[in-house]
Amino acid sequence: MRASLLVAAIILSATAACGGGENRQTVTIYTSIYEHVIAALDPVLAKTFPDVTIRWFQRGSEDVAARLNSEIAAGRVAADLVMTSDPFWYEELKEAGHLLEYRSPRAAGIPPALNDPDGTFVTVRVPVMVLTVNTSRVADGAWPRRFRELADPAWAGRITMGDPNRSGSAFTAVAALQRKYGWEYFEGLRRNDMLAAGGNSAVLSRVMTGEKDAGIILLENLLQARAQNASAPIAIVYPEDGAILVPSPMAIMKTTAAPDAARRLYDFFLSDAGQSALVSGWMYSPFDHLEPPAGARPWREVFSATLLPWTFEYLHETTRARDDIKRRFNSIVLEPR
Amino acid sequence: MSRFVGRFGGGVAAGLLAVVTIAPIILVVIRSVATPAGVTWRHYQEAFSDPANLQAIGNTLVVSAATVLFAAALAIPAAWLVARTDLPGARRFRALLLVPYVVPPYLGAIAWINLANPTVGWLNRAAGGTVFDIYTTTGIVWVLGLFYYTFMYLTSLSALENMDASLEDAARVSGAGPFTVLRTITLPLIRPAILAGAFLVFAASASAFGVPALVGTPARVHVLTTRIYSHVTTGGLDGLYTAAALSVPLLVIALLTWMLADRLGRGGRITSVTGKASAPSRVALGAWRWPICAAVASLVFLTCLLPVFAIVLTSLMNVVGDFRWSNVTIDKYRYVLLTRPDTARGFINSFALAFAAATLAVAIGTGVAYVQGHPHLKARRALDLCVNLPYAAPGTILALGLILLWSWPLALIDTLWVLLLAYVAKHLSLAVRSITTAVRQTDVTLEEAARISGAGVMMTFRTIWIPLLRPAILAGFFLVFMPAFGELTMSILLVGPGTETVGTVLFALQEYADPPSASVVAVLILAFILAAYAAAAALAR
Repeated sequence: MRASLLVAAIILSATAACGGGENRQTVTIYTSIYEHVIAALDPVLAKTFPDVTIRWFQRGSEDVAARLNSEIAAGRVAADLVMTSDPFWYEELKEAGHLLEYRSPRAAGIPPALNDPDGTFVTVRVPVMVLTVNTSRVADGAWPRRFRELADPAWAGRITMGDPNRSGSAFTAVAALQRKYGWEYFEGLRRNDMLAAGGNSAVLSRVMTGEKDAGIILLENLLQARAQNASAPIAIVYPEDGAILVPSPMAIMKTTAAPDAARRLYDFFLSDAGQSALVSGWMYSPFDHLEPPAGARPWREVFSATLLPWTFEYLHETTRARDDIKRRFNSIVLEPR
Repeated sequence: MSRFVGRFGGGVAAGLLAVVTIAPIILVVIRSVATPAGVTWRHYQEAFSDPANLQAIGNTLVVSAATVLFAAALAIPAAWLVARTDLPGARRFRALLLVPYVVPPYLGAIAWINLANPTVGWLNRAAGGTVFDIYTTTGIVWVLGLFYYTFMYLTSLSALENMDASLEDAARVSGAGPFTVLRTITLPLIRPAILAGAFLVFAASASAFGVPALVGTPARVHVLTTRIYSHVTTGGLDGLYTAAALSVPLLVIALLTWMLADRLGRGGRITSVTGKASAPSRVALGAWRWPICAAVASLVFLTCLLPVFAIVLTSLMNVVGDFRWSNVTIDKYRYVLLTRPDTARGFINSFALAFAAATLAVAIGTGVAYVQGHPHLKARRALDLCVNLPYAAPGTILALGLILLWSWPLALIDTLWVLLLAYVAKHLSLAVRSITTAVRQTDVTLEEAARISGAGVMMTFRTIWIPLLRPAILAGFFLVFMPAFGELTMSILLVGPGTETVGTVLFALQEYADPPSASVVAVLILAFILAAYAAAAALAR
């Protein structure tokens, strides 16, 4: 009697662990979206998709890419949906045939340059790289106004950015800056002993504490920090040479075991509900009719004056040079001399 | 028939143990030359033509040697003072100086980054300029030394406390002063123990990952473990094989030093056992008593109080570095605990894994100790290897081996199972040692009496061995539980979606996502480990 009860209990708990035994699906999302944005999304997703279990794996974009690349090499891909910030990696995945084609009806209205013409990935959010400065250490008149100025000797020992081997937005910034200003610019940053490490939140904390005076950073980190603490000693500087767009894609892996659930999630993130969740996570939407994140400049103002225009040609060329750019950056900025 | 079953069962158990413990390490060595694509030296060429890797080998040797010297400067005087002099509060100091032994060194790295960051560290702010810079090779040595001196302190302490005091007495009677006795009698007698401790420190420093990764990376200083980590995480499949090639020199360094330590340690123990005629007399420090007491107290301050103070303070600051009461807040605790789902998951995973690993390790450990307590049973040598090789091998290499072993055909990678295997293999030795000592001290005739009275093997185990060994089993449990809970070196290579541990959550926060919040997780880990330590001490009483 007791034994059979025990067996029944084990079977019950096992089926509960497997999700009730119905055709409940699990979707694993690999992303670089911040944990606090995920935490805000989770209850909405649970309500919208009661039949889907969502597993998140969150890291810096380049860490996610490295992990997924080795999963592909090993022939065992855990991710169903990918949502990170390095657009060039998606172009690479697409060319190698790893992405599922899906033309979401919701993607209409996204500017053509931000939407893959072959329907394998789409820009789901547009973070923007700008400058920040510590306002208690740097007087108003001495702020950096352009990315270019950071290579001036005046900024020796005082600047920081993320590590492009780890952070997709840092990589996108390096790719744009080297195209605009060449590698001499990075030689100048090295002479200034720029600290390139970690992700954007690490950059924020270095500037906020005064460990460094200025940095290249995502706008969303600054907006969030200011919203949390209005007296935080940091300023947002929209660089006069133009902000750097990081059109961050979303894609479904071809190997997914749950293509339907993945497509429904894909649609959700492009819907008004999904988009406003991302905008309240301080990122711009690729749809220009939506409001900018609170405290940020309007869409058009930022997007009409960027460091580089976002074109397919730029996307393709940078994708081909992706590994070279990293190697060159590492040897100029990161490696010991 | 039952003998056959017994032997067969024993063979299967030993085979399973070998798969868990030594197979991963052997596989790393094999894969460095023989990949599924064929036999090739290409990965060695790749690994050793990269100047960054060659520099990392040099850095590993320099850091490890310097850590040994620094640790010796702390450990030997400290051990002598608490064991052999009339230092005030010697007993309390003896225990306090051991605290870093149970704390994961990466917590020290985070504390010292808060204290000695060149521009915003608490110490540099207090000094009004950059006096200390943690982001240097010296910084790595400083943090490692403040933790690993405990290895040398322990070996020296046990030698000093067990040595034959009659030699010292003889010297003293012959007119030698206290420092002549120290120089000509005491130090030569404990030299094997000091050397054993030195080799242990060297092996531990060469295998360390958390401290060089956190302190060295911003300074562009890489060591072998951090290079292997970056080959594994960013190099794809080829990166795994290059990492395997780069692992071989590290494995050689670690195993050689560890074997030397083991041999010397054994030698030291034998001399200490011969004729313990009288309790050693304590040297009177005289006028130096209080100044020396202050020096030892300041060492405790440096190793325990100051780092704890730094991370607690940082975790409570709204804007880090701005020390005003209006700036004190618990917001960061709220943020880390309530809005980051990975923190709670990390604590749950680490607790469950450490508990399971400790339970398994004492279960396996009791079996192994039983075999080792019976000299007539064969396979003792093989068991020794199974237990000690994964303990001596760097965690980075064990984890790499587990990745290679469990990716295909049975994919345990990215599951909690592979972390459990890693923790059991790595820490089994600690459980075995604790229980073996107790088995050796137990009279075998008790078992024989039970067998003669008709009890079977299981019955004897249950009624004789388990009750007698309970204290040792409990000690073994905690010896495994605590390092498994805070484990980082292997976990960082083995975690996947949903299987974060506290160590990897902390590492990701400090090194990538959000350094100020890392202090919060550091405080929570430290509180948990000290509570477990206190619980273990209370249970042992």
